[in-house]
Amino acid sequence: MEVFEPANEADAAAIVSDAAVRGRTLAIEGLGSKRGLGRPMETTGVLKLAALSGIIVYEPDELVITLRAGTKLRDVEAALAEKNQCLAFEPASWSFDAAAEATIGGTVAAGVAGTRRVVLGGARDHLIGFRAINGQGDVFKAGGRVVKNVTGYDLPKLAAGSFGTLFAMTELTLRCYPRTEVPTSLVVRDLSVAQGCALLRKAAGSAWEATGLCHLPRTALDRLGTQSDAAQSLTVIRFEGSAESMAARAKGFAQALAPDASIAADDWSRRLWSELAQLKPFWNTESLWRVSVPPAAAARALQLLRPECFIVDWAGGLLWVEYGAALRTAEEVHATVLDLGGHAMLFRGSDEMRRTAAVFAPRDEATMALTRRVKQAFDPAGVFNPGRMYAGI
Amino acid sequence: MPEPNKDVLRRRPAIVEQLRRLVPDGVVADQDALAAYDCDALTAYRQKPLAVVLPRSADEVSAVLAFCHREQVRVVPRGAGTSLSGGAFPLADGILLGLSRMSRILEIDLENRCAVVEPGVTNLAITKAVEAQDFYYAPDPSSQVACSIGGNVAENSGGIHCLKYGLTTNNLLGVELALIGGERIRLGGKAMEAGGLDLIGLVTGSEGLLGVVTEVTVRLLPKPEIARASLAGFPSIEEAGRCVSSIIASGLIPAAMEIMDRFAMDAVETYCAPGYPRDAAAMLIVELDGVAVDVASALRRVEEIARANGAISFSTSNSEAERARIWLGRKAAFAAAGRIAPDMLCMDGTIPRRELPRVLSRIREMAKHYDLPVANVFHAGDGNLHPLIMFDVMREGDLEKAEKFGADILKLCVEAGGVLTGEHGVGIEKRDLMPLMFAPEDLAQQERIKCAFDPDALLNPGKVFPSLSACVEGGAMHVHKGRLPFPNLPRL
Amino acid sequence: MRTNFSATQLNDPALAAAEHELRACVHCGICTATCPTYVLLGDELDGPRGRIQLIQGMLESGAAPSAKVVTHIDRCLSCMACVSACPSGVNYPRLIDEARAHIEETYRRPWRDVLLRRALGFVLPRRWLLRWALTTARVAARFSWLVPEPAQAALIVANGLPRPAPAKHFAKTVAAQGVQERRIALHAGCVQEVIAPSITAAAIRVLTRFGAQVTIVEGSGCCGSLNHHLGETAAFARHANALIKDIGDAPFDAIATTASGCGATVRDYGFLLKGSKVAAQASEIGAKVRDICDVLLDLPLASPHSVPKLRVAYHAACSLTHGMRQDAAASSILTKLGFDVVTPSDTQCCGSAGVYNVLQPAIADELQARKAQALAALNADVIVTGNIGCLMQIASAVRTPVVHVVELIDWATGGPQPEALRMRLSV
Repeated sequence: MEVFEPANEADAAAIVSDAAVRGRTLAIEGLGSKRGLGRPMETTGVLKLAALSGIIVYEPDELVITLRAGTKLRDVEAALAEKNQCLAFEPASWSFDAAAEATIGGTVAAGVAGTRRVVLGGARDHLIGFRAINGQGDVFKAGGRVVKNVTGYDLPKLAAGSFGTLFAMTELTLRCYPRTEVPTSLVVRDLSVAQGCALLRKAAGSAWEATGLCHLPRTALDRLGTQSDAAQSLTVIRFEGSAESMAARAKGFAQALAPDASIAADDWSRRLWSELAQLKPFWNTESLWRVSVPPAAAARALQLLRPECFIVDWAGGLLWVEYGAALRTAEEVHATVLDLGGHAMLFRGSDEMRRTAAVFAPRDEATMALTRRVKQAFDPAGVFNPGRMYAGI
Repeated sequence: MPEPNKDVLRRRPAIVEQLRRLVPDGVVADQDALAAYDCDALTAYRQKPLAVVLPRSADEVSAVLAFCHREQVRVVPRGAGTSLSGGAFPLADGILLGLSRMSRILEIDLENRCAVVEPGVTNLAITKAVEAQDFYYAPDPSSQVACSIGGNVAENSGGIHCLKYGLTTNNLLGVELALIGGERIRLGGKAMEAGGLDLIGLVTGSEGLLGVVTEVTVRLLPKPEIARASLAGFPSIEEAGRCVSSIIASGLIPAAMEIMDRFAMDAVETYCAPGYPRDAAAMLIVELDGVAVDVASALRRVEEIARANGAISFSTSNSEAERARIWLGRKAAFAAAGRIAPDMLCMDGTIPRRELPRVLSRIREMAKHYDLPVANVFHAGDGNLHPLIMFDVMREGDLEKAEKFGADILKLCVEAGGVLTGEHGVGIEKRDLMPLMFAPEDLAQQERIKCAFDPDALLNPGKVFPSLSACVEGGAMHVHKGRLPFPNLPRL
Repeated sequence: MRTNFSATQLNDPALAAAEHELRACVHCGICTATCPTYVLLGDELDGPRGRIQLIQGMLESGAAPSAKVVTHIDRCLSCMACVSACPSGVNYPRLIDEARAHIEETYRRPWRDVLLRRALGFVLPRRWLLRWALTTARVAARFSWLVPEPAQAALIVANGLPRPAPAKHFAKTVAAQGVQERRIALHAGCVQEVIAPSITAAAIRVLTRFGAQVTIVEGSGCCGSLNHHLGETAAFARHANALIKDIGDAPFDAIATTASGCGATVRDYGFLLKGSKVAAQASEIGAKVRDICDVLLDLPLASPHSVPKLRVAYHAACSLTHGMRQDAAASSILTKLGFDVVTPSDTQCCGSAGVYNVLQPAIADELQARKAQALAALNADVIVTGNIGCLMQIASAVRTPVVHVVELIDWATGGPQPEALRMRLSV
């Protein structure tokens, strides 16, 4: 397998154009942190875009940053932190390989979204413009450098979560957001899943502006580095903002909705959210699912899915679901979740499993046909990431 | 606009008859009645459609689309007809597919913080339906009383509170879309993420070129504990613009920031006497919402920043009545401007905030050059300008002059690093300006997406893109002025 | 908007006035969502913006409109919700009135329609005739299958009306109790005096009780509003002239109306009679017309006894809200007198709209049902309104007693309990 490491966008475009003419296929890669995401691919080459890195323009006053796709996520965050800003969608590295780092291009292409998505949206909501190479080697741009923009189709939305199946992004323009130092966390102990989820939903529907809404069962707590006593579960609600505001909101929230809640220590709180962002409880997991459901269906979903370990995030909207040896078939998981009005993605599994099972939730025929045509609109020769999301696309 | 298809015009009686069979009691075909459908809220151009079809259900929408696809009849979807860019401008050889009769709220699901509605439901009706439970739907275009949610999806509508809460696209969970062949696909639902390619994101803001929205699931937000507004007067509009940048730079995200210039302030003073600062050349409204303590401390910082940027007056609302008073004139601005001149062109470019002072002073110079008054009332927080160019359509040459002035403003926006349209859409109004912002290959790529959805270019052709593309296997080929290059060569 | 009238056309003051309004419309569409028929029917042709374009077409061409166009113009309720919503200040009444007159002049309606419209325009403004007609209609309703369809609707409506009340004769002038502070002319209209003369009686009691001398003004017995809305210009002018003559030039502090439908029309006399001999006087009268509650706001109303803490649902008539723009007074007075006032979520027209419920029964019924549902949701002890048309329309669709605001005010300030309430509350 040939590995291409272009030094700039023009070289990358030439490689793609050549591949299209010769009927070759390319796996798009940054630093390889997400190789295990999606269906395994067999391509004739790898297009490594790690060399296309660096911040092009960062305008803190405009809350906008433009950078090359291969820029390390860590470097982006460091640059933003210097100006007391961050990426609001709280991107995690989602890395399966401690040695491989996430790049901003891969992070956005994978549609990564952290805990804050419940209020501030995901990668799709923060990518406002990009440059990319389509499957024929043409460079094009879409979106712009301002947030309020409806000029032409909103391709940035499509880029986020397309897993490199449509085009290879070379430059991204993202919104930035003011950063908070240490969040304040309210903790309620020993709630059942149903009770925990109900409290989280109430919190999400309240005016207290919580930015983290998680429920952690004992099994997940055991795998975290945070010290927690023998609680059967913790339901954790995070507030961010000025110290004065966090204190007032935590107090107000507790009084109104959860009288037995306690405020966690700052250290504990910081560590908890960072470990959750890195999915620490699942570092050694063989089979992990990322399940998106209507929030009110969360408890029911867990009841039906019966996972070995799980985490509830987004006030019930997101479930991380782990199976150990007692594997459930992918068909079962997909069917159960679809039935509840959500969709599941096999987030981690053996190559074999990801090859044979549907990694992404199966869609109806009309949607699949449209997905295929959209793919062809960007990549008619099928050069990029063939089969990464769906077999044959 | 694309050349009307003569064959379709000839077959009109048969087409109308078929449509009447598909949508009984929902076809308007009399010439004098069609006059009421000859434009949307962009009135400079008029064209009666082939016929108007008003379906009552998604099945009827599907049936009409399948019929039009089979008969190769063009379709222009229309919500409430409030587009300022001519998004629903009719075609002589195309039917106007009005969704106004599909106006039921199907479900309100507060546990999942969402509402499922038909496309003809008005934006404000959604908020009205949930406000007693302290929820609301965030995007608030100024036409929200009347504009439909289906139209909002098609245009990715914004509003005053986009700065903090985003546009339509950031507030949708699910969409049911009828494709040109009549088949319907469901994208997303009540879950926060839709899975697969983000087709909702693609469809939102596609101006009716990709499909017809037949159902929408919107995200509902809990009403903030409090909303308060402050009003600052500045000796120049440039200083007001700079204040906006400083507020954002300080790390605050206000719910809304609006600037009005002296011209607009005078207009509203005559119209509804909101009592805005008399000695200021420009004013800035900053609204903050959220938890009371937060809002109070943020307002203190806003005042400091405003004073540091030269504010000569500053006041803050301490009650809902006071807040309404601050907004009174801003909300009446367009109406007030309408009393000054019989006709107006409302432009809609977005620029980076730091460019506000420069662009605003350029616009003033242009106004002198064109000898047309312009009022500036705009969403300063996200750099979204709405210069109101005033003219008299009955005066020879005025419309052309106003349009040229408008185009110059948009050119200026693009040149300043901004975009042609922040929330009104491209439609027919800004179609021919698209090359200012996009290179031919950028546009070609967008047109290939059109081909993926609608290879025969039957849905709303003539909008958004300056040229019609002919779709070929695996892509699109450019057609200039409705003609393929080298029309006599055989194509795949 | 651009218009296309010839110079000759613009010499006609009515057309010139219409042109002025057409130019003011920017076609933004804000009005559509507030229009009851648009909300119900979802067709641009049934909303104000679409009607304005139809009107522009017919006025510019000067020719007779098509049946299709007339259908959509006829569906306008004249509720004027669009006027309140319009950001550009388009005076829609000028347009719809001109259109109706134009239709009346140029368009040949089917004979049944003509018959029905003429009958309504002739009978309703004449109290004696209406009294006779109502009595007869109740009998005739049993034979409704014998008459053509549009007339059937009229009979059904007539049958739903209360029996005509025994005729009441009021003295021309009633002196104020105690010191006379004001001179008020009280307009007595047509339909109300036949159906519910108790309203005028209550108004006289309240006004005189708190220091006003009341003079009844009635002209021919109708203000001409009904004919005006039917596009019958000449009949309107006859009634209006009679009323103006009756009011004369006595120095009244205000001319009070207890039916806002009449009030809205009389307020507009100045424009409607422009160019006529009485134009100046008509303007003066128009400026003095106020809704009874608006007049009562200035009076030192007080309750001699404690009123029961009733939950009162207030339906603001469109003619009061959008026409006279005096809808706030009633709630404010009732609240001050100690009632618990609530308003329905549905603020649209109830479907009465003058003779609309007779001419457009299907739409009127639907609007009535929506209004009834919204009112029922309030669980009120009594529903009040300030217009006889709404009162009858609502009363026939709800179980809660419906009375005129002034009857409730009269009761709370020492007058007799309204009859509708007496029956209900004693249970």
